[in-house]
Amino acid sequence: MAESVDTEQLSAWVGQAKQGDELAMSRLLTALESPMRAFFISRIGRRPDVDDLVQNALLRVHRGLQDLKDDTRLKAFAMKGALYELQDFYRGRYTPKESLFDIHQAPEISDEMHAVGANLDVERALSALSDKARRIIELREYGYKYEEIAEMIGSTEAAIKMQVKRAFDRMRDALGLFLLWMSSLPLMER
Amino acid sequence: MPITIEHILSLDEWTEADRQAVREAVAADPQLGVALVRWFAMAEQSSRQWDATVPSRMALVLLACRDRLHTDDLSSEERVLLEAATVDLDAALAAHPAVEDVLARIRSEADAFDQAWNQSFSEAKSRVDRGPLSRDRASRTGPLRLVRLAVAAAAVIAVFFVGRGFLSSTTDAPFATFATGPAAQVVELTDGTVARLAPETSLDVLFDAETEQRLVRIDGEAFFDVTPGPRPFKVESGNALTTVLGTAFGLRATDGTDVQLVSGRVSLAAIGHPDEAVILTPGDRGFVPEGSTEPVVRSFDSLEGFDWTGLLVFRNTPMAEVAERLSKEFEVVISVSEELKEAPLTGTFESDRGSEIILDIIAAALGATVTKNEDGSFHLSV
Repeated sequence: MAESVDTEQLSAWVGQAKQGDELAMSRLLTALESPMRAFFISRIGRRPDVDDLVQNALLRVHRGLQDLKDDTRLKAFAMKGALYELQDFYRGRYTPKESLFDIHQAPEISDEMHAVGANLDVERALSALSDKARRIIELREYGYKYEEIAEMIGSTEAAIKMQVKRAFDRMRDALGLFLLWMSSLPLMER
Repeated sequence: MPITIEHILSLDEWTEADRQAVREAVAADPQLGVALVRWFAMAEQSSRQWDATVPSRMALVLLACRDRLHTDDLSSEERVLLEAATVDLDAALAAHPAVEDVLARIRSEADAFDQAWNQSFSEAKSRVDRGPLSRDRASRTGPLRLVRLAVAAAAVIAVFFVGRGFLSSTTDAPFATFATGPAAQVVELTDGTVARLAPETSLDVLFDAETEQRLVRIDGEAFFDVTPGPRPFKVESGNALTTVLGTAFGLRATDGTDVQLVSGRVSLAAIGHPDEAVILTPGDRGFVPEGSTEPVVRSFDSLEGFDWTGLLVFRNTPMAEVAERLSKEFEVVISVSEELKEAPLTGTFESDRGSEIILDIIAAALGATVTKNEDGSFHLSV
């Protein structure tokens, strides 16, 4: 950031940018880059994704500036855009499709097994989870990392992973009994 | 080594090697494959239930930040979204306790944004402060000025990351020790903080990833450019503790502790006497003498005793003096017009950027123009 800008100056640039002053818009976006970058780094660390997040958040400001009714409220406006971007980032972090595609497609899992695994009563399996395990799985699906989940619910990363493992083991044991029962049935009854 | 179920379930990111290991494990134990498929189907189902009951991510942001946002901050679409989300929130909280966790997380993210914003605009941002000369002067120059400002911004942002003849190191380790010999050294720590270490200085990095505590111990002299983070950055230096929230400062820990603050804000206290802490603001020089419990504060106009950093630091320094200092540093004649002589400049420059770039940055910040004469001298004017 090359200039010392107080909030009054920012508000002036907002007003001028809304009137079509490209120089003011450019100065405004340049001024916002530094806090945006510092914010994203403080949340996800120094990763290549930070550049994209900063750019997208600035684009939100650029595109939405006309909606800002009070020129002095730039901070709230920019914060909103940055938070939207961060939630989108979590969503895209590791969607099941991206992470597990190969497992779903793995030739070692037969179609029959795949069908059995996927179609067993997942609702019942979900309801059988402990509240804590369910909470962890939901946060994980939201896109948080295990260490972030641990911080959010006041636990350790190791304890969180242990909860997940226990839940999986319980489900697997139940599944084993089910498959054993299935294999004992005559083929037509399956 | 065969992959374990713990490993599969605890992966944050999957590599091709992980996938291959899973394939092999599933080939050896088909029931494992079934269990995994079911597990992930269950997770997907959980996600579907969430989507069906819980307001969208955008709505969660609006809900979490209700007390920070005014109605006028929202577009008409956002107002509708927030209204609907407010109605749905109770049901979502009842069905999914994790919603409260997400809202709390978003609120903490909003706090972090506040912190980054306040540091940029009220304190740390002023690597180059423009004096009383207004943008009216800059705007008269038209599109050319835009290009000049862009160049200036890039140069200043890079200022701490380009060393002149320094050895340079980075570390990914939370615990590390650096010790310089006869040469100065620039090190980048895991959080992005850059420390310039003077010759014969040692620095112990004691970061704790779990608690996000950032602590370093120093014996010698260093200039820090601290990356803002969720937790303060602390420097322990023999007899004093300096607590930082994103800032640039020089610290000398010989015969007491001497802190010269360039930007941001730090708290300085003698070890064991946190109640006697003083808050330093840019331009303050805090000193904790050996054996003393109380820091002494005075102001400085330019960084004293940190020539080895290669940094040129000005604090509200009249342009006439800036020009004189730069002339001496670069052994070149630099003059300024009458109107600019009293204009105060605050800025931190790395001298190896060279006189032309630094003058260009200053001119851009002041809305002035810089002319290079045939004899190699420079002149700044409005």
